[in-house]
Amino acid sequence: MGEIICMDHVSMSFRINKTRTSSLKEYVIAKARRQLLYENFHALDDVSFSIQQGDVVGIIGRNGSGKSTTLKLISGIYRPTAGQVRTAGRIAPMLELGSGFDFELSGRENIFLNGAILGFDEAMLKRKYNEIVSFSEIESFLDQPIKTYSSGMLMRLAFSIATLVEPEILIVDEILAVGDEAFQRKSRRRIMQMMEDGTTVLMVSHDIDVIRQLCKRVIWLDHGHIMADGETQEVCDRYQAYMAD
Amino acid sequence: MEHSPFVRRLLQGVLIFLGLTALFFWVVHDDWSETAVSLPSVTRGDIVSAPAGASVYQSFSPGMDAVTSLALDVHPLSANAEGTIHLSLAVPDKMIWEKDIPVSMLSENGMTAIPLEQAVTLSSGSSLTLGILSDVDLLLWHGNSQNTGRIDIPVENIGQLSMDSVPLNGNLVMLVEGKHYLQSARFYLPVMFCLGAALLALSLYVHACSVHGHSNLILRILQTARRYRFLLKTLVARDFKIKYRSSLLGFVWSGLHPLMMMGLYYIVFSTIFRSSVKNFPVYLITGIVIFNYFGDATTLGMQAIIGNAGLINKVYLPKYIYPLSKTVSSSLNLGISTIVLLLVMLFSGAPFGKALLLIPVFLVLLILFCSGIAMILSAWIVFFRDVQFLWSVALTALNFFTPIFYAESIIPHGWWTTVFHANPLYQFITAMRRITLEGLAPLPVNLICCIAWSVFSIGLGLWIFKKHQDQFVLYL
Repeated sequence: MGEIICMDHVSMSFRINKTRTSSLKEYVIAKARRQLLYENFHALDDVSFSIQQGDVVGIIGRNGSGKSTTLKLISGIYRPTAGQVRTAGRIAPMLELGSGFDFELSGRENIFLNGAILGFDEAMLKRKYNEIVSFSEIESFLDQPIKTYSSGMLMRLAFSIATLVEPEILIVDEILAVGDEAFQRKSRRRIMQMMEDGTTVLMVSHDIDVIRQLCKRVIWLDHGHIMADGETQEVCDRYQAYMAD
Repeated sequence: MEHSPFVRRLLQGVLIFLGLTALFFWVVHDDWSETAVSLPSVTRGDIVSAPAGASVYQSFSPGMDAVTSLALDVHPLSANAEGTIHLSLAVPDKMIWEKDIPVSMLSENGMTAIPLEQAVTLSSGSSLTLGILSDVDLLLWHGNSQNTGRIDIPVENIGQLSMDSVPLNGNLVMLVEGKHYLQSARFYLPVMFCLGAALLALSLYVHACSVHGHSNLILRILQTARRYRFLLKTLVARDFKIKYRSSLLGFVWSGLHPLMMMGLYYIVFSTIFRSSVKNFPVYLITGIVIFNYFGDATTLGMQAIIGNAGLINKVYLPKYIYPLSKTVSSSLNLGISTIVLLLVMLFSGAPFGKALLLIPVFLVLLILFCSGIAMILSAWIVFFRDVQFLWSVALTALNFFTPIFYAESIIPHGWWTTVFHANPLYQFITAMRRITLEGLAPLPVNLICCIAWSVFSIGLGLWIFKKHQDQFVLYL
């Protein structure tokens, strides 16, 4: 039971270019007129926490409180402005399901493409292939280009790929509302199964009931600061009381 | 015993290196030891008659190490004249070759090849004087211009032409062929030895680091490469499938496209502009294949980062893989068009020899070169979308400034030559044309230029890309 994710005094600020130049001409003109105005926006300010292997941690907070920034920092998509982010183990970032899909390719080809993007190798994907197909319930459409799929089918396929390949860290951003009710139950069971098997799960959700049900620990972020970090029911109660005001 | 897999792999590596070195040496040795050169003839301008007993001298600096053949445009004044002509070649202080030939041997109209029993070796830089002394009346052609297809270009005198010590205008119409001895083959083995030793030292060092758990750049690159090999393969397969998904002929287009371009250029330039290049179809398609790959790989590579914005925002991957996947997937096209190039060579009777084995070397260098450019462009375009418009103009400019569809000989001498030689694509195309048109190994200087450009481009590309890659996600 080692430390698997560690955020060490992490700050993330974005330099927002107020003049918004995206062409060379605008840039040169703005530079010449000394109109290049920047504004620093602190998405996260000196945030520290660490997560042990096997933890199931929920992150809650209002819109713009820094939840998604935290997930992107842990996945390695952002590099922190200050501080350090350390992770050990293979991460399956499900920040947005199916972001690696290519709509011209068939379902079969997309399983390998998306799996490869999530960092899994060919042998593993071949071994898990049948399981992914049967879990996502799209057998009869496998050779169709996925642009012909319904949005529910796409989400089911993406969810199956991301969870069935047994990542060590699963990062979940509001994705439990996938597919119809039957599939939602199935996917929730699947995530709970992974938790029991010791996968570290980090999830962001506005659905406090889901958080209460699944997580053992909750981190509450507000304006880039940690407001509370601790036992689920207690933090959720405080959060809901705060939001009710 | 725990080292044994490493030792085995090291031995494998050494054997492969030695094998490739020997193969390469076998391929290039002859072509790197000597090369054929010729002194182009002037076009017929004036005719002069030399009475019997007159001595005609033409001095010139041949710029070659040995003369192998000589052809003259000399004719007897009256058709059935009998007699001999005394020909000689002399350096300033002594005669080095002489020969008497019967007048009846001279062709009635056109050049007469004069056989040299063996190559006449010259000391470098010496000037030569050709002497013609006849016991019958002769007609000699001389001139001061060169015909390139349609127009006559005046040429400078290569030396002094005189008859009985009276100077004549221009040069004698004659063709001098010879060879140039190259020193490069001598340096090949020492260079390869040093390279091999350096590689060996490097692999021992990397191995020592991995045994002791030290991290170093090469080890990290190897690990990343191993981890993302499958992803690269998948991305490349995707690009290739998508490209031809809804076209009737599919990947056949990869070969058909350069072929049709070649046909188009051939019709335009051989009829309208009357290009006089030898084996023009092969000349064209070699240039087209290389330039098309350059254009495709850099343009697709340039779009790689902004085109994958969705992914970059959602999943962490080493970002190098996006431009790289584009240059690699375009190189599948390059492979198919190279096969078409070989077919065109086959049908047009181009020389097939061992030099063809060098084609992969230059293609790999070209791929590296284009990958570097693609990385630079893909990083810059994130910040300024203007790059794509500038690049399309730059590509058109490069297309004109690279001898693809016009003959190299029309490039003006002097300053312009330097400009053309500085163009990396010129180096690649020249190297490939030497293989495909003449069946000879490209000159060492050409190979060195190609290696230097690839290393420079990939180094600069990695540096610029690395400097900016953390900011991509903020601008997408």
